[in-house]
Amino acid sequence: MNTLIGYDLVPEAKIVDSALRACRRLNDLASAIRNLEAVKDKAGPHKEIYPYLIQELQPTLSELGISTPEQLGMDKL
Amino acid sequence: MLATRALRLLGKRAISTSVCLRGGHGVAKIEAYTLPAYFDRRENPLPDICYVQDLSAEQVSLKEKEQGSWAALSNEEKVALYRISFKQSFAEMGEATAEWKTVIGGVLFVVGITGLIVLWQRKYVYGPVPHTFDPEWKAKELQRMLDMRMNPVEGLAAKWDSENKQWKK
Repeated sequence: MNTLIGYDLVPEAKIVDSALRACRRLNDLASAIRNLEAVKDKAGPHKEIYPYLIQELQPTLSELGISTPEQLGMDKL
Repeated sequence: MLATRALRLLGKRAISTSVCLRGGHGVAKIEAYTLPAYFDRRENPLPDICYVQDLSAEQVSLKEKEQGSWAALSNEEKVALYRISFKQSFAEMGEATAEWKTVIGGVLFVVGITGLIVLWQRKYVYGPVPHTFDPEWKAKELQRMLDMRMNPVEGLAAKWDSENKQWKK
């Protein structure tokens, strides 16, 4: 995952979906939320990418019960 | 050649123990700085280790709950799980610190100390200034420069009115 974040791109929804499912297999909710934060950070100034990703991932998020950082209030300080 | 054959006979796992026994000192002490460290970085979102290494009792039970369905966890529990694994969220990581004030303050302080040292030097270390800096000497120097018409076009002597013996207005 760290290598993926090292690349100059924002991962597609399918890739992030696989990462979230991997976190579920490892019983690691914190990493799942961290992944979402990292992907949002990767988008940089392009603010429209992250909402689109969340929209695409919504079925997976509800299925696995992962809250987005926004829902937890972690994107504020 | 012989040594490699002997090692192969011993087997891989036995090598380390046999080496240790031979050395007689046992296994080397593992230094803390050689172990994986935790650090918050934007480019390294998942550090090698969790932030909290020693879990309290309720954190242990929370981790047990994490094995089940995540939808059953409340928001506070999810945040608690996050905080076990990570120290700062991405938002907190990117926050501006007040470190620059310390830096500027430190720099100015050191410059001030240097200034004090320089002043002390001027007073106590350096000897007197040469006699050629006396005002009378300087006046004679200036007169000499004007007499030899130094920089007569645009510079010094150009500004001197030699008939009236004064500076040009």
